[in-house]
Amino acid sequence: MIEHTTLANKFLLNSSNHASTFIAWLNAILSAYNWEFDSEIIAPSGSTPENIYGKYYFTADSYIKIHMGVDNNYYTVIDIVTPNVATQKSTVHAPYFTVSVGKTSKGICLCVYSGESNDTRAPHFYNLYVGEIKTLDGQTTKGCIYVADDNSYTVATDSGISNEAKFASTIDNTKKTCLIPVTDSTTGAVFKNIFMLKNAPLNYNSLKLEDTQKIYLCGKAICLED
Amino acid sequence: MAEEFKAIESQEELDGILADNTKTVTEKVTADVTKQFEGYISPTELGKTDKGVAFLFKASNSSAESNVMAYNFFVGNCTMNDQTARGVVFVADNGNVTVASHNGISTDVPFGTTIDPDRKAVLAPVVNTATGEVFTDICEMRYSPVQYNIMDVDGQGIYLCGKTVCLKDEEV
Repeated sequence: MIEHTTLANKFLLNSSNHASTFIAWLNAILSAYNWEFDSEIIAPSGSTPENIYGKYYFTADSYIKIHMGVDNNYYTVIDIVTPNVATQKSTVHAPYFTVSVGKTSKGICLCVYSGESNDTRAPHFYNLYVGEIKTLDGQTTKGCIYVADDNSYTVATDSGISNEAKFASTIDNTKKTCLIPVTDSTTGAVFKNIFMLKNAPLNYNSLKLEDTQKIYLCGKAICLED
Repeated sequence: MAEEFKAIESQEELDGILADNTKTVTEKVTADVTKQFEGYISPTELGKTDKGVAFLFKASNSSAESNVMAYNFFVGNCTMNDQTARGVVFVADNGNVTVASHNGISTDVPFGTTIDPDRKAVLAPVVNTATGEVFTDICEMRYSPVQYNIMDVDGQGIYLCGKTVCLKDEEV
């Protein structure tokens, strides 16, 4: 069950009248996944985009908050909040929004990005992933990954937030696929179904491995198993 | 004056002459190479576990520092389709990893290694990306608390660590 929905592709969001568009994106993300209780969209009556946000709980205590900053233009801001620590990620301060939702039976991935008008970013360039993660003591919980453009990434779980170094991803159709599970190197927890594309014949697409018959939904350098 | 001819009359006699000649040539070549590269050849370091060997063999400027455990060659088993064969991993100074195994050779850019004592070890098996063969006991260190040393990973085994690649020892 692999699904991909592009909600916006370089959509110019530059007016307070676009509040309803932003709300529609947030609602689409809310309904795309079985988020935990308390997940919600906050949109006060008559509000402008900067007052609207979506909170998506991936565990009972940790969530992703998607909202907008204003700096002459609207731009994307993503807060990742865990019980003891939080981090904020924002894109360049430019108003062309690309928003998409990818989904498999094992998790969800989102592209929530704003850039310049000439930005050629693919809607499959997911920057948020949510899936199951196994801790060193054998427990399974859920975790969130935020991926930066340089392939460094941040892992958030109820145990905290771990910033991970960038990795090399080679996309070459003459190479065999080599997938490495995404890990939280602070706690040792390992994602069960989310992998780094160390080597792959393609990205931004679905990838089927002959040997295992498994299918993966690939972003730029990270993929989600189906 | 021509050298006096001496007939060889037995196999043992022939074997003895060949062995003497081989020894003479070997000593001469070794002496010549040692003299030619005097001061430039690093000590050849050999590390060994019950899963394979790792060794350092490189020539460099005498002033260049090189850790004696910065192994650049690793030899161990790799598998594909339930077949196991020996393979070699070569780690270049720039971190590129070249793999030679039964079915071919691949070269890949380094995955990225971070040495940080506050992090858990994250090891990924070395793979021949041209053929799909996977090393069973030789891993790239994505994260590791140590390098150039021996590392005991709880429940996973003991590893002999070079700069970015390590070789596993016995199972725990």
